[in-house]
Amino acid sequence: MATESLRQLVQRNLNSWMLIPSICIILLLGIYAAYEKSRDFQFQNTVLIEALSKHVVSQTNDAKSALASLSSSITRYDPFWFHWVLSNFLLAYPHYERLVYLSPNGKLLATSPQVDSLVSMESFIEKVSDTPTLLSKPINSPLTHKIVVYIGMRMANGNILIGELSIKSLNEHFTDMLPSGEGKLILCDYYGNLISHPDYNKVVTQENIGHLSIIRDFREKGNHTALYESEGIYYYGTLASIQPNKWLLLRSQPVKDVFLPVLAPLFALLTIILSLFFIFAHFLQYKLRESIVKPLAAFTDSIELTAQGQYENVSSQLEQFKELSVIEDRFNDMLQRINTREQTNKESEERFRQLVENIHEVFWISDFDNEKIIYVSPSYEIIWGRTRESLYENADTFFMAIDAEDRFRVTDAFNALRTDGKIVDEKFKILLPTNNHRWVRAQAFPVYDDDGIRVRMVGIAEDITESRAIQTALVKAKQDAESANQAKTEFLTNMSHELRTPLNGILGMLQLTRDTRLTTEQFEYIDTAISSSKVLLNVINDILNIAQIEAGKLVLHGQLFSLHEKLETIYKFFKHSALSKNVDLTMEVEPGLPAYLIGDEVRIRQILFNLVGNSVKFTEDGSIHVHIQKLPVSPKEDIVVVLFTIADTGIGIPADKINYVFESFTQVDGTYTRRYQGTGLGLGIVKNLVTHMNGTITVDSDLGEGTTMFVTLQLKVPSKEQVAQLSVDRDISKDDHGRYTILIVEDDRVNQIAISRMLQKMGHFPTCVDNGKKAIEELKKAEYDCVFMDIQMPIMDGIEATNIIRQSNDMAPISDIPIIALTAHAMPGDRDKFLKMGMNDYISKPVTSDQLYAALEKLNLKEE
Amino acid sequence: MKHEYYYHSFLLVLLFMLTSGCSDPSPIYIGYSGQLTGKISDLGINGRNGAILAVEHINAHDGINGRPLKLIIKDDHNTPEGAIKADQELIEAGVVGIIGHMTSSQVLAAMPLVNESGVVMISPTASTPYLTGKADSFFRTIMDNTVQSRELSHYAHSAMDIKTVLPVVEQDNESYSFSFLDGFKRSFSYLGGAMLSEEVYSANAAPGNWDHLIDRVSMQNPDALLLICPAEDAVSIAHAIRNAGLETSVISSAWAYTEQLIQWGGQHVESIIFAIDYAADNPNPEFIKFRESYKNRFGTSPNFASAFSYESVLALAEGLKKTNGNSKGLVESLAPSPVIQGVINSFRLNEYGDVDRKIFITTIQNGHYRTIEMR
Repeated sequence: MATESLRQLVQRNLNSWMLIPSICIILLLGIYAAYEKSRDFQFQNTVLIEALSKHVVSQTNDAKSALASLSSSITRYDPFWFHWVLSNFLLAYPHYERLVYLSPNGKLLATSPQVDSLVSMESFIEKVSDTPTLLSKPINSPLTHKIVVYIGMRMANGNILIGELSIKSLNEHFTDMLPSGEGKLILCDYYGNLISHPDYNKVVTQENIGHLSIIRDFREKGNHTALYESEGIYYYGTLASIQPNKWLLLRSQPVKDVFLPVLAPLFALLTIILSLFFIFAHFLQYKLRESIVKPLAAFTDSIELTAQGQYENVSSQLEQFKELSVIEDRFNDMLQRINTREQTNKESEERFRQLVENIHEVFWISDFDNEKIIYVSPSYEIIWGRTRESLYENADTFFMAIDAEDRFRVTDAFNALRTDGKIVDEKFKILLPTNNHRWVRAQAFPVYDDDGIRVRMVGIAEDITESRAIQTALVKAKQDAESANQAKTEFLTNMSHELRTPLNGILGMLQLTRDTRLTTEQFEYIDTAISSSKVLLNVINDILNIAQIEAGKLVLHGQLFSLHEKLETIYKFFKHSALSKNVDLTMEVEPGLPAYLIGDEVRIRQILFNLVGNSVKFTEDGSIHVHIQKLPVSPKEDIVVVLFTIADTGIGIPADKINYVFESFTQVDGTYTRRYQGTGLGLGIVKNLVTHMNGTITVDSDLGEGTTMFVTLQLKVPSKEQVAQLSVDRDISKDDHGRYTILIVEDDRVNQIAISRMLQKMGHFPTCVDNGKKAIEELKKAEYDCVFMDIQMPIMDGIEATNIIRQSNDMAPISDIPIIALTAHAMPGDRDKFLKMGMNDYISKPVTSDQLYAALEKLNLKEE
Repeated sequence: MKHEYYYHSFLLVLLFMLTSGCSDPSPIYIGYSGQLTGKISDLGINGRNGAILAVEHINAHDGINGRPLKLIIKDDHNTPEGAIKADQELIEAGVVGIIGHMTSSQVLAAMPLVNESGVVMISPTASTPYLTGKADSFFRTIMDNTVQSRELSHYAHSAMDIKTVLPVVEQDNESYSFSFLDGFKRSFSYLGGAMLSEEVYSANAAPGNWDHLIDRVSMQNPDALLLICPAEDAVSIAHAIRNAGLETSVISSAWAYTEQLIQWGGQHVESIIFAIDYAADNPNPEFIKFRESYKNRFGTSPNFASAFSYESVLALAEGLKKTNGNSKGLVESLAPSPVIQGVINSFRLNEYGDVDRKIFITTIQNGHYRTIEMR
């Protein structure tokens, strides 16, 4: 923006384009005139100096030739005649002060005027020649004490004639040569010793002007014109050398005398121009003020009013020039347009304002460089409880309001936005001035300019105190529900334990009873009771499974197993029931499937049991086909995906119910529940197990046509070493084990009987005790091969007893005796817990003789 | 407003350029006062030229702490009145020190004025013992003439085997002449020599008539004439004696020891013996340098007055450097002085403002000064 006033602008332009050029022109003119003058002066001087040089030379030449003519006129030496000739000569040549006549060896013969001179001229003798010669530089004559030069010559008779040529007369001659006011004429020798000077006293005192710059700078040849200073006055002069004496002739004039005459009119002109300029400038200034500045000022006032928002048309009352009127008209037009645009802007702004200021969220925008808040919406005051001004003044109050716990995290997030442009999305607590807390969610985003540089930050913040409270309540509700579910699971677990224990007794007793001598009818009753018990046991197991899965406690135990063997077991299991229903049960394993795989064989068996069991259950006639194959895809090198296809020709599933079959406690039709037994837990469990094994299960079914279940499972392929190890184990296990003395620690009488009977049947020698304490006493008394230890017992439980056996010094000899846990605590993780406590294995109740047998086999005890 | 400022300053600069030249740092004025005209102007003019050369050399080497020296020259006409008038003018011109005068009598005449005014005076050639051993504002770079007279008498007595001496004494510069004579007398008598009564004359009077002297020499036949007079009179006496056919040896005070003597004396001045703390054939490189630069500047060879005058300016400059160009404290800063690298040799002013130097026994051989020995 311009900072100059119109007056300054005009003045500056006048200065730049008129005054300074005028001054420069005059100065240049002055310089030119001075230059011309100096050239003229130099030329004049050159001419003058040359003439004068010749004059000086001719003067000395005159003196010399006079002396020569005198010498030629001396023909004899008669003292009277001689003095008469010499004195006549001195009268004719007044420049000569004195004449000396010497014998060839320097003896003084005569002087004129005659003085009693007792000086020797010996030093000149060697310098004289046959022609008159200058013998000395200007020196103080020892006779007259005047400054003189000596001129001498050897005469034909060998005598020497020497004349003292007065410098003074030369000086007077010189002084007269220039009219007064035409400067000074100075003659000096090569070293600056004065020979002639208008002030003759300077000559007398043999002053030296060799220090003057004009002489110092003089080169021997030609002439030299220069400015020089002497005794505080500046002179302009020309210096020339006079040959053959190398005397220097200087004509000089004070600088002011040289240049003032030409420069004075120019200075006068300069003064007049400056005066005229100032008068003109003031006049112009006045005119400008009246005709331009004032109307413009009035116009400017209108503009200022406009700037303050008063869009009134401009019309000046003052007399004004045409251009300004045009500008005013245009300005009024512009005002009109601005008005319209302003209105539009206002509306647009109003809409934006309504948007921003009525939404409960806080909107803000801040500068990137100085971190100043540029705008924050009024909601800030409601949420933060602070004025917007406080934030504008100090943007840090935003961070200061954050609860100390969250502050660093939020500050870090904002710093990351500043440095890396990372979007901020933070939830934090703020402290209100009333000391209350409020939860806020703030988001901030970088704003980039066209060059991709972050210039601003924009953000939004909302009060999430309420939603957070709701969320907290929801979480709590969820936790409550989860704990309720947990309670349910625990209840189910406990129930199953409580149910299994008596059921174990019932089943054991029934099995024992069946092996006694019975009538056919009794046998059938007992057999039916046994199968009913087994059904009940399965129901309990299913419930337990669901409980485990829901509790998230399902743990898979990967171990080496043979899929063929599993299928064989399943085939054997379902063969009879299928045959009885006239259903053709077939199983097929495609070649290419590894003989052994690693997986949780119990769970895989459970899946297949459930699925095949369902098919058997829901197929009245026709066929059930189980097909197993390896899929060509594998997610990892040592993983194979195995597809199980169980296809039956059963009742099928209605299309609209297919989605529900995998939900727990569901059967497709409630009516079937009557017809087909089951808890409806099976497929739910299967679905969960499959999912746990990274598998999938899909169903393809047509109502009345049959159902095909497709199950894929990801199973690990064992290494060769693992397979080899297995075959060794197998070889060992194939040996029938021997007969052992076994201690059964079990508080439940029924279980004691059941287990001991089963073991006895296997040929072992069981002994039963009621609790851990008794067990320890018993172990001290007699030698046992292994112990079956119940966990929950009165007096001393199984865990404590195991601890004592393993740790106590008393028990040291038998501290490594195998202990197998017996428990109805069939919860996931139990097994690991027991093994950790030092037990060798674990069997969940109710116990079957198969389990006992397998457990003993696993122990691989040495035969007695 | 800024433009107006530029505009006005432009005009001011223009005006300034037109009306004034560049100005140096303010100069320090020093005076020179000596006889520039008349019979014995050779001392004054050579002394002045020595002072000019020294000032030019000092100014060429940054002056006195950056300030140039400016030399104002006055002629004292070799008279007491002239000396007082010249010094009065110098003091009024604002000099801080005066180099001068060249003769002892003029120094003694001007001393009251100089002491009163507070400026210092350094004489290159005033060797009267009347000024010796006084702590005042007078200083000098030549030795007290009693040493010269003593050495001269010793040399005359022992080396030249001179037993009787007839002194010729110029009386206008009495403070020098008679002190030298007294010194010589004392020393020469002590050695056993005989002094004839002195022949006294005035240099400022009409040209001398030496008939009386020649008569005395012829009659008394001294072993040597002792000249205590300026060069011009020495020339004249030498001529008179030799023209009269007398072969008497001549010994002289340093006063006559100038180029004039050789210029005008010719063969008559050959073999005159001097005792002086200066030697024209001094082999000191500093001296040769000085001699050459003097010759280049003025076209003539320097004499003892030039050299002592040059050294006087050096001594004054040394003092002025300490007082930064002020006359206040100049007396104290001049003496005792540090060793100053002079052109004859190194010297220092003692607490009384006097110097100690070696004495050269000098004579004239084939129109040149030759040093015989140094004492």
